[in-house]
Amino acid sequence: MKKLNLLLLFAVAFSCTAMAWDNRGHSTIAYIAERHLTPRAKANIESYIGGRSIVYYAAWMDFNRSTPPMDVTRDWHVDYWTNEHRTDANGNPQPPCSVSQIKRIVSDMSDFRTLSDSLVSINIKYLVHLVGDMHCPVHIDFPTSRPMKVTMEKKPVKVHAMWDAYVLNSKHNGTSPMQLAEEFDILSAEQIAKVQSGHPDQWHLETVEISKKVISMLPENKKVTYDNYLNEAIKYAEDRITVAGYRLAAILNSIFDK
Amino acid sequence: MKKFITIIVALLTIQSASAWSKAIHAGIAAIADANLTEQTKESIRQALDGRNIVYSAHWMYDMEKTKGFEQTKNWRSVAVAKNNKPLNPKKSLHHKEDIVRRAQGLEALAAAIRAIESEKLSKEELANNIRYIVTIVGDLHCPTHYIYPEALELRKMSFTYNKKQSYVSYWEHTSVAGTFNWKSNEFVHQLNRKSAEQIAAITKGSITNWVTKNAAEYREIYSLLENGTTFSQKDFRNWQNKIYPISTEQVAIAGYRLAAILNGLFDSNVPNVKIK
Amino acid sequence: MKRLILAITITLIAASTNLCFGWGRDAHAAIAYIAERHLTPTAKANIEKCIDGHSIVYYASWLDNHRAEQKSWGKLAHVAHYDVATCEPIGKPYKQMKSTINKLKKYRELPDSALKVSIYHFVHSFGDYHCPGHVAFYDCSGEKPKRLRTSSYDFYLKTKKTRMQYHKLWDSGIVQMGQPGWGYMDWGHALDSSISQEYIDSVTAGSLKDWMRDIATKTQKEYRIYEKVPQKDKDAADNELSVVDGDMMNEFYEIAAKQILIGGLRMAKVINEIFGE
Repeated sequence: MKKLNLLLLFAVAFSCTAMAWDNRGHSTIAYIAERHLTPRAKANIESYIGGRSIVYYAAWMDFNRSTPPMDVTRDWHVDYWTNEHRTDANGNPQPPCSVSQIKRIVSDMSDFRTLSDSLVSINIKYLVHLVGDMHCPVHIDFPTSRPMKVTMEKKPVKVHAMWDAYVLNSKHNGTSPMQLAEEFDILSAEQIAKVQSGHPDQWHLETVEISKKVISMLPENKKVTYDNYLNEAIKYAEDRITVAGYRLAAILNSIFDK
Repeated sequence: MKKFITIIVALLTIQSASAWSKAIHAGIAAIADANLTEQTKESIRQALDGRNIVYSAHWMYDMEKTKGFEQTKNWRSVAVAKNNKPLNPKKSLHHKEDIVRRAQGLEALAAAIRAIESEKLSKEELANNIRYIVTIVGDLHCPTHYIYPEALELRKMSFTYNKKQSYVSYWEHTSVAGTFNWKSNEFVHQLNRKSAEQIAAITKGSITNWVTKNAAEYREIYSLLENGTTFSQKDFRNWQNKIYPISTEQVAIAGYRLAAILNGLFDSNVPNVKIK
Repeated sequence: MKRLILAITITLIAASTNLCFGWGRDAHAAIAYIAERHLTPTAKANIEKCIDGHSIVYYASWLDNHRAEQKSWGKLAHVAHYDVATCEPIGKPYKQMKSTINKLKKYRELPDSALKVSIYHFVHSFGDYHCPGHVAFYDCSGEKPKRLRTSSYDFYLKTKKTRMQYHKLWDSGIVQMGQPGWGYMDWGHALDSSISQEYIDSVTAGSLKDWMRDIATKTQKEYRIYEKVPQKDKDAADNELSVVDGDMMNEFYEIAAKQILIGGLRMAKVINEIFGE
């Protein structure tokens, strides 16, 4: 239980930042995607990122979100529930953030060879991260769930923080993302094709439904244990990470396999 | 803020008694996985909904608080007699010491193997019994999971390095991690290097033979420390250098033996590992 | 918030001694693993035969762990010395590494124990020398080289509450902070996915001396890791010390990533040349 307490404390520490997955989760998503890139797409992508793997940049947006000029991306990580559009300073409604960014980048990159190398490179870093973020249940920012707290091991923790830092690691903190990808990437070709079908807007709605589900699963007394919540939540986390990996591959292949 | 950091640091340094870390359990399972035959892998994949055994390496621990799985807390260690043979459960179950009564790991392993051999399990039961085997075989290669009823005081041995620490906890948490930060796939890269002859020697005999052999060897770890020693930084490092070759070797052995058990159960071309 | 996370991490680094946080280990293992990925099958088999069938990665931090056991092991350098004016390697660290590589060239004639220690020394210190935090400059204009206050050992940093030696940040913090949760195989995979032969050839061209000069030159002119922190020593008051911030960590982390790859590729070249036949 030592580990649980520790992770919980980290979770509390991280609770004011909207991190979605941690580095392990994001890296696993990138690994899964990489396993499903076509050789041509992989070669094209890596030629823009110095021969590195996309895994290297999986959490790059989290590490570089505070300093200008990257601070403009600060709010890109979170989506809002479709019925609760946020407004900007002028009162104009804001669309879901990561989804709209993903759509914009995909459109901008339709003919990536006409763009500057640095723009393609940074767009790859954005996509690798944001497709992961848009599949994280708690990164849908519900008005009701935002301040919600639960108790784990007698310590209060925000639901968002619990998901960011704890759910996946409560089972997998001895496993590297490379191994996790191997363990999660087990769907058949047909199943993968089904997961990859559709459009970011539909995927967003799916995440909204799953977000509601993981919030509704919380025990009434808000005292979270493995038995009443975590064992089930872990399955959702693994599923979302796997799905995000497949879809990231689909997006990257659609851009770079040419 | 200061208090907060202090709490975290304190928590990190607390050595609570549990078992091999998750990374080690996953490492053992990964070494085993690398030594499964294709037939075994396929059968296990079907039983575990497409997953491999690494995924379930720590499962028995994850479930310890789940209703219906409470008894698994007693399945992690084994009590042995002075001649290192496992205690008969009739004796151990009525022993005056709780820690001996709770050392039913070998019995649980045998029950899981027999259950799978019976071929009468539901899908869920089959999956759970595979997972039990994966976790228990790992634990039965952790030296501190051997209970010597005549020498229970060994479990109270401690040393001081920065602070007072339990020797048992050191073995479970730090005997590998004090030297290597390996993740599960890295355990395979580092330790899955034995020749066919070496593997045959490691997996020879019955599970009870393995336990008896382990019990004898693991007694020796208590002679590696003079109880109450206070270490300087240099002495502590030198002392750890004697421990890590032993602990990593046990991880490798556990992996090969786990593979032998599973191959015996799921590959018709491989003979079963006998329990006795 | 970022400060808080950083403060916690740095505090953990500062507080960790026997904990499983040996972050220097990750970088060493990553360098040796990248080297291993570039060994020819013959070279890999030959060098592993010399070290009881283990991977070179197994011994990547052996020298750190075992150096106190024998005097001769303790004398092997981990930090490289350079003439500040020319960035030429000077003194014992360079001589030792050169001598070790020369010994390895005759590995078939070496007694077993000497061969093993030579391999352990090479796979560790060669990695250390590629860490900018292991570069120390000397003023060589006088009769005797005089060490300058430009090594990571001389400077101190702080987070909100913790003081730490700059060296410790390089040895322990940067790699782990960069990619928490990763193992050395993740590092190898991520950095060394599809680098071009041209790149490999360009960074592995030259001799040990050229490579060391390259590291010192980059440290001095490109990475400038000593200029980027106010140069305050151990005795400086808390409020004079520079605070480690996230941007600085990101920048150092990128430097570390580059050097890990280069170190691994060069290590492979040496091993392939010696053990590849």
